[in-house]
This record gives sequence, C-alpha cells and structure tokens, in this order.
Amino acid sequence: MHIPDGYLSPQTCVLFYVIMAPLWYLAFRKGREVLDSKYVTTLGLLSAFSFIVMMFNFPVPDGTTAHMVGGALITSLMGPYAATIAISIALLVQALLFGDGGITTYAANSFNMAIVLPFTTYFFIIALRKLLKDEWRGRLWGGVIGGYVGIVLAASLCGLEIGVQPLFFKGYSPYPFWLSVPAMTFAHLVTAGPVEAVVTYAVLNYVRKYSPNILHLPQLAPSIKGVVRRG
Amino acid sequence: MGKRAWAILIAVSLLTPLGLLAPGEAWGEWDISQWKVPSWWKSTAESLSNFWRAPLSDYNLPGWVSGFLPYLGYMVSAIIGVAVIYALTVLLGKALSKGK
Repeated sequence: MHIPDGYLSPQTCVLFYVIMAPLWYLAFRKGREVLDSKYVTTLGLLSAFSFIVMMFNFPVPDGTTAHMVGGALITSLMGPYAATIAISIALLVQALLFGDGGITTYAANSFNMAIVLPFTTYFFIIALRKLLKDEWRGRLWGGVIGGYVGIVLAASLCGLEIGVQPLFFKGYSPYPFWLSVPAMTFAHLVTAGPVEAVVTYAVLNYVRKYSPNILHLPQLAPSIKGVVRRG
Repeated sequence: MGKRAWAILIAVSLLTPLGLLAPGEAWGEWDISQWKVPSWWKSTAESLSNFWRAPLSDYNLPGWVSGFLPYLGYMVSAIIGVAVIYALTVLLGKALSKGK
C-alpha cells in the first residue's frame, strides 16, 4: 500500500499534503494534551511494531503480496491519533531510508494507512463498546473487525488514488481504477485484512494477560460529544 | 510491557526474512521502468522519483544483491528501522509530553 514516487501527479500529492497538515496538527495537539511521559516509550514500541509487521509480505492468490499495518492494534491500545503519529513516523523512515513509499506521495500514504485505517477502527470501537457495554470487548472486537474493514478501505482508497491518475493526469500511474481498485481491495480482503485482524486479536489478548493496565493507557482520540472515554 | 515487548520485537525482527518468501511484489509498487508506456510518460513520472536515492533501498545493504545476502540485509534493515523509528517516536513523544 506504499505508493512510490512518480505514481501520483504533483497536484494529487499537494492535495494530500493539504489534507494531512491539519490532521497531523490535531494528532500532535492531542498528544500534547494527554500523552504522559511514562507512556512515551510505549508509543515508540508501537511505532516500531507497525514498521516491523509491514515487513512481512503475505502471498495474494493473484501473484502479488500484501502486508498488515498494525494501525488497528495501536488504535485499540492508545487511540486513533496515537496510530496517526506512530504510523506516520514509520512511513517517513520507510520512504527516506528504505525507498518504500515515496516522498511526494508520503501524505497520501499517511492518509490511507495512518488516518483511514485507525479512524475506521475507532468507529468500530465506539460502536461495539456501546453495543457490548464493555470497554475491553469493545476495544478487542472493534480492533479486530474495524482493523479488517479499515485496512480494506485504506487499500481501496489507495487503488483509487493510483487509478484516477490516467484519467486526469497523463505521465503518472498508467493503471486505471478499474484495474487498481479491484486489485488492491482483493489483496487486502483475502490476505492483509485477515492478518491485521488475527494479529490484533492475538496481541491484544497477550498484552492484557501481562499488562492488566492495558485499558488505562492514555487515549489519543478526538473529543466527540456524547462519547465517554474511559482509561 | 517493557522487557517482554522488546524481546518479542527483536525476535520478530530476526524473523523478517520470512517476509520475503512470498513470490511477487505488492500491487502498484513496480519500478517505473516496468511500465508499458511511451518513454515521455516514463520520464515525466521519473522526474518525481529520481531526486531521492534511499540509502538502504529495498531494505537491502548496498552491494548485497545475490544469494542469502538480501535476506541478511533485510534482517539488518529491520533492526536499523526499529532502532531509528523507536528513537524518533520517543523524541517526538518527549517533546509532546513535556512537563507531564
């Protein structure tokens, strides 16, 4: 899901930097508000976790590969803006140091993986927390189901960004959306989505076993009227 | 979470060569040179991709192109990446959490 440099026109790249600037600002502002120095290392670990899980490429039946992102786990533990910060840093280092994902496309990649995935997960956490009337089960199943839906949504969007280029901007991605959207959606429906869901389920249960304070980590989440955050 | 989490993270880093076993590449991450388009099209796209050369391109060490070396390079890249990303996030987190 890492769009390389050259795939998106300059106009598209600028658009995503304009979209991401206020979102990064909100994430940092929320971090400044609620992040306790005691939990800074936890955020560092989660950022490294996201980086490392993205290195495991799983086979897709069409001959390509796909990987999980880890955004669902980070959202379940510390809220969607924590995932925005952690994943944005991982993506930045991937682009600069390893050439995985572009620099011009960095904001677009951040939008897909560090916004769409975490906030879809967060939406499911809010809904399931209400439905199940249980903080832990809301976070667990919100993370699992939201992670699956979120990574598929992020991938479809990534496909769309690549796929609208040949319609509007010649000279960049030559792959039209009727090829890119199904390919990206399929890869994440059958491969990366299940991996994201299973790993989120396993790690959350594991962390809960050894860290009973799992529900009391600082929550970097937007303040939404009517949503009470515990923890 | 500290020690146990680090032990797991390092173990997983050492296992990253397994992440290379799946055949093929991620969809839409092909090199521009592989596009089947006229050359003016490629050079337009390459004007955006040629200005930055990643030092550890493709998670490999420069020159480690054959045999088991790319797998080893992948593992070394994993460890370097974990260290750099952890350090950057902690630095940013410290700046954000100042005084708390």
